[in-house]
Amino acid sequence: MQYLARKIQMGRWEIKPYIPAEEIRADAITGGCLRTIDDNLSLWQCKNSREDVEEIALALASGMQQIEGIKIVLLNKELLENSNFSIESSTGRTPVVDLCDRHIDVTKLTMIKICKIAEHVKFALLIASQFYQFTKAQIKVILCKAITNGRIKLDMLGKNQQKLKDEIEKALAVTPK
Amino acid sequence: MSNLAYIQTPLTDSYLKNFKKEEKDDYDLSKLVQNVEIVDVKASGISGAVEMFSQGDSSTSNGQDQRKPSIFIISKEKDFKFEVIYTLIEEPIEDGYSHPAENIIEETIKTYPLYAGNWVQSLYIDNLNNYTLAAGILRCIGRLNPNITQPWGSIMAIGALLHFDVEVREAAVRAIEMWEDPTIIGYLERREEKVPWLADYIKQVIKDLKR
Repeated sequence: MQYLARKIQMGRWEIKPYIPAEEIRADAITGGCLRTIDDNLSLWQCKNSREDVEEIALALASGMQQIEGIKIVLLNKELLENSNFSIESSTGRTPVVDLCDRHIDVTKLTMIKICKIAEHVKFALLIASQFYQFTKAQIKVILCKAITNGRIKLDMLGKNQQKLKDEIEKALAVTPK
Repeated sequence: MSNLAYIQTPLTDSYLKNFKKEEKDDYDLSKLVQNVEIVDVKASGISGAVEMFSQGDSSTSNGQDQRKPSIFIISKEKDFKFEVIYTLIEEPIEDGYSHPAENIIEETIKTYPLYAGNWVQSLYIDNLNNYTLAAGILRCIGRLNPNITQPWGSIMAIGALLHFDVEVREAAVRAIEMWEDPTIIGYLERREEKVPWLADYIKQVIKDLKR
């Protein structure tokens, strides 16, 4: 079964005492977890296995400015398709070339549709197997492995990723070969 | 006259103006930045206020410290707090991406090393009930080099592990994780976290830090 992965800030999905349990916090949507560009929501295709979600973590982390832990939720692709969301393949923005074609956009989104996606996220978070966390140390290992395997070259990283480059170089220096 | 004062500067005025225009009644920035009483410098008759650093002799006949807090420093504190809160409201923190508030805090620590730690802690305490802002302050501190944020940064994070809001507790764990400071592991180990995903995260961070 295919899933669609999205990086989220888990704290924003935790219900506060002043919000009914069945609701979704506004911050979950407006705070960045479901931020859209040109009414498209960026997601990554994967299988529901730690190994495959690590690939998505690599695609995401290699585009970041510094090494930090991330949290990923998996949405059921079939459920989204059955809910009449428009899903289109698009090239992912990641220096890991072999992962670029894993990227898709949920397109033509409206506020009502994004709220429906939020419901899918909330539903997925109730299923422990559709939520993955990676600590800073785990992300460091994933990035170092990709460098060692030649999937990323440090000079492929952008100018605004200097801190990430420095952190990877430092980690590689202490990694046993 | 109050011994706390605030010099109105174009910077803070513009922040207030923009803020009120955009946020209307949703937030009152003056409530978010507390503990500094605003005094109209002109009306109070203080002239040359910027030059009024705490220079005086602290010893007095009755032995009490009569020094007034520096108006200049209090003004800087106010500006700093406005800027940090404003940027945190403007732009949410995103994992792996730097936030403008980090630079503001870092530069302020470098420029005012004797004061900045207190300002950050005071800003955090002012916003203990604004969970996302409190968490944001901790996340920013966690991303800075621990050499410039210790020991007060660790004290903030250790205290925040006991906060009643999960967002703030997570931010505290993240800060400890970012500093990679094994000396704080004990506080993480003793934390009885009730929220399952955060409890799992803490367990993994403890493992990582022990390696």
